[in-house]
Amino acid sequence: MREQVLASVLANPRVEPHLAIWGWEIATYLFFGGLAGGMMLCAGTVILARREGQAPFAAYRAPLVALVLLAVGMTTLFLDLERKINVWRFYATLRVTSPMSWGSWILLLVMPAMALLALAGLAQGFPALERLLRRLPLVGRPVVGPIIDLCVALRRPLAGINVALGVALGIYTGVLLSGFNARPFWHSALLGPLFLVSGLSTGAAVIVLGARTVEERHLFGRIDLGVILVEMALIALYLIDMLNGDALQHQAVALLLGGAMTGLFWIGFIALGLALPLLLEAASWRRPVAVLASLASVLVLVGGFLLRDVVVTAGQRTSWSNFHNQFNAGLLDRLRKDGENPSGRF
Amino acid sequence: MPHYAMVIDTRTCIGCTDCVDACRMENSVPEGLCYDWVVEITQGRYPELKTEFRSERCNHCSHATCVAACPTGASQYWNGSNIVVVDATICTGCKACIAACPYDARLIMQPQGYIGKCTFCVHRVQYGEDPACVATCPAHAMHFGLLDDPTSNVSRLLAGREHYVLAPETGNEPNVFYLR
Ligand code: SF4
Ligand code: SF4
Repeated sequence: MREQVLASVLANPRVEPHLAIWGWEIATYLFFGGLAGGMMLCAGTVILARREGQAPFAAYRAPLVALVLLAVGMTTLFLDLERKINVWRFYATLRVTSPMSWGSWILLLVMPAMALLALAGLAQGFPALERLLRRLPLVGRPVVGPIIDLCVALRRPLAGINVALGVALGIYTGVLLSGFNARPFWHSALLGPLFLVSGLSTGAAVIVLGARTVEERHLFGRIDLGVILVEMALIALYLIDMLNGDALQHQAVALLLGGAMTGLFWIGFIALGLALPLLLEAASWRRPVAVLASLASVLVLVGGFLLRDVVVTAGQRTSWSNFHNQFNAGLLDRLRKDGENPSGRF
Repeated sequence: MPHYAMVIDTRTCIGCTDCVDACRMENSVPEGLCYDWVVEITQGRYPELKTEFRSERCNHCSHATCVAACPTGASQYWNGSNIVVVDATICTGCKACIAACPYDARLIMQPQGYIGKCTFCVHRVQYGEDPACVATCPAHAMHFGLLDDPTSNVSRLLAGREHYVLAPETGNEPNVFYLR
């Protein structure tokens, strides 16, 4: 027999749930970050391949849409900071060993790159907005107008930059988590590619939802189908990797195989967020059906968020210290229900 | 490079949790939180049971993953030693360091929002005093000192007694040692 109990109390999330590290804010941020990265990749590729005619939404409108969605994600990221007044400290330094530091600098590059590509497509994508910008009092004619013209002239180099930064952003959303050796569930190099591919899939889904022509919707529906297959392969590799791992990894993956996150992962993400949209997209492979394409895209988006949510939550439940302090947090919960405050006694 | 270590004798520790209270008083730890904690481990089969008490805290790792993960440099080594401290004026509360600590030794200070943890009572240590928990321990089970000095009490204890650290497999090179 081996029994461990706490003689005092431990201020960590297993004992005090309100001390949890990251919640829905970070899952949302990773979701929109990956999605924006995927859209940058799609938009840039379309422009570089000179397929604007075939995919006008991706080429002209997607950058601005991605910019807005990324801004939503960055807002929830900011909401998560416990000491918001110090947020500028991210940009007072670059810590080479910290993925989060890299990420904050990547975001700083991504925003203007997206904005410039959005300006380049404004005349075709959002003509009313373009006219408005050019007619702004004071700055419209002498400043904004020439900037827009310059962006249009530099469209292709800008597209190349967006592709590179889109990949960096997508991978970063995974590496942010996989860099933590302290959390066995996250400590897999596969999270980077997995989040990149999932981001590409959700980005393509937004384009399908936004596209105005059947051709473009169909094109990105087909692309998404291939991407989902790759995503499934990466998930399988991740599970195999964990199952072949050490005791820490077994304990981590058990959360998905019978543990607390099983339902959300298999039914929410795998079945509804991957398999069902895959079937819907396969069904409309030859003949596009608008309803099916939209439904598949919505499911992909829900699945993309669930993936982030499951991974962010599960990672925090796994830890090295679980092996040393194997106390039963449920007992403390019972004390709480009886009206006692376990930490109050010390 | 001063290399500080804490040596805790699990044979003399009586599990009174005075170290936890001493730390709370010394460091004004917010109510309900703590920088150190005591676990009681019972092993064996009745009637041959063996109980060990262990006072745990931040290990002030020589390879601290929390310092590596911090994006702002708020988590840092104090004065080139292995004592890991958080500069509250820099910390953004992004919690990367909490995720990065394999010993779950960090917590969010509430309501201020910066990260709190055991500091090895650096404000006492720099004047040559022992950390509050060590100074308070009524069983004299805790010892603190420099590992680079072979004549220090911690070096001599480690040389003479069997000892272990928590999860050396993390690669963090923890510096809180437990005597068996
Ligand atoms: S125990 Fe955790 S908080 Fe303390 S130095 Fe090591 S990694 Fe950092
Ligand atoms: S919470 Fe503070 S100390 Fe921890 S990693 Fe973020 S900025 Fe650094």
